[in-house]
Amino acid sequence: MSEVIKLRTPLKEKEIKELNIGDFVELSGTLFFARDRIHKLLAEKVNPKFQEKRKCKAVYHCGPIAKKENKKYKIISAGPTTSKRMEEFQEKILKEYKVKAVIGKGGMGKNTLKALEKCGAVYLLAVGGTSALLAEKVVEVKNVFFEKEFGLPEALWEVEVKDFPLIVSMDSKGKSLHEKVLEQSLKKLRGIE
Amino acid sequence: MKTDLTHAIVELYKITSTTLPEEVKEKINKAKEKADGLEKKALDSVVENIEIAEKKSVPLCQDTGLPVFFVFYPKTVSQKEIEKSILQATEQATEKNILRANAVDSFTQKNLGNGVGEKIPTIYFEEWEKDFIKINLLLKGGGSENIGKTYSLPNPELKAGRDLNGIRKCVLDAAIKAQGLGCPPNIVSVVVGGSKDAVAVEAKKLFFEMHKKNEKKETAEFEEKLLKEINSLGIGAMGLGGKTTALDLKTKFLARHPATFFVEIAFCCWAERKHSLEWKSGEAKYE
Repeated sequence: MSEVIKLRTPLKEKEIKELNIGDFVELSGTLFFARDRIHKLLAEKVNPKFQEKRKCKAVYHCGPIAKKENKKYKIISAGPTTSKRMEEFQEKILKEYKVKAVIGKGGMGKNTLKALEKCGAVYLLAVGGTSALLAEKVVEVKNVFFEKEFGLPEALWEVEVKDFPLIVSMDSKGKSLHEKVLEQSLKKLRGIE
Repeated sequence: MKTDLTHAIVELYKITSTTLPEEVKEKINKAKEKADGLEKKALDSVVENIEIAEKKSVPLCQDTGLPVFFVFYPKTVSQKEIEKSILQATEQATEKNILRANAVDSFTQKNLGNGVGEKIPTIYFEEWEKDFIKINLLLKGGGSENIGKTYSLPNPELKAGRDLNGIRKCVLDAAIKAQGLGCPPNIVSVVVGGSKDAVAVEAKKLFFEMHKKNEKKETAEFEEKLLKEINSLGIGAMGLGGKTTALDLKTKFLARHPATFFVEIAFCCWAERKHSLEWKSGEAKYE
């Protein structure tokens, strides 16, 4: 468990299927920062351009802080946002865009868990609030899409990262660490009621 | 240090967005010492993040939160002027990337771009007897704001009546529902009684009282019991399972109308970003 598994995009289904809840991962390659409005937009109308771009990459639930330096954006702060809000759209995103990893905080629901199993993908947890640490793992911003429509925090960011530290909390075999902790905590609650 | 109030508030924003008060860091370090496994890994990252943010003077979290101000001012000072300074400072801090542009029009869903909108930042004013201005600022993360709850007792679903045990059931229910969504370990504020708006405001205000020990022995014991019970649920840092779900908990009991009995529970993420500014004849002192 304590060993760190190195992953790189494009992610291969075989290596994703070997991951188990509780594994530590360091991910390098391309992440797509996307949150509420991008999920809604791309789920409601499938966009072929991003089907091509996001295949075998990772989606990161994140609305960063960035500043422009010499016409290029630099990420200053890039922690995860609460993933549950994307639950309604995640299945569609996994199926249509063939992303192999969803990154966020707090975990997701049953629908996403099923979709991960069906699509051979995983949910990876980034430690909430560790934005300064995670921003140091960003190598460069390659592209920003829908910036005008949604504003910077809600835009779609194509970002290159190196050794992005993550924990597998929902695997491709139907196991969720979040469900496990919820069940255990409910059991403890019944014990003290 | 002589400067104008707007500049001083920008500086307050900077200190609050990039550093945590010592008391909060101490609580996090204590939790880290107790932790093992995934919880240890999560808290190691949290501590490293605090160090990086402080050293590089960058925001602790990309969600720089909802700014909530509690302003205490002498009668010789204009409330309107202070408000103007706060709004200007918010725009400047957003421009400087000390804050993320966090104000969105809730009708059009357009990001307003400059961090300022109707009731954002949220400002509460109170006149006091002292001869200087004190500004308390809390940057309250959106994730932890979402998991806050207001209960009205009795609550048949929870079998919670109008007594301490009823309040306790609400607190445990809120913690169970929150799980890892609001970046635990959390700081928990519980306010009972009042009207719906009074309990909500007082719960925010209570985050500034976390370091003070409750003077009433019975209340302090009740708080200790609640904190211990939340932590016994085993939700842990980031909801990955562990020993510390909450770092601290405070209660406040307001008077209530005979027909009402509200229990307001506000959670703050581990990044309890709160600092204050004392402003006296052009001199700024930060805490």
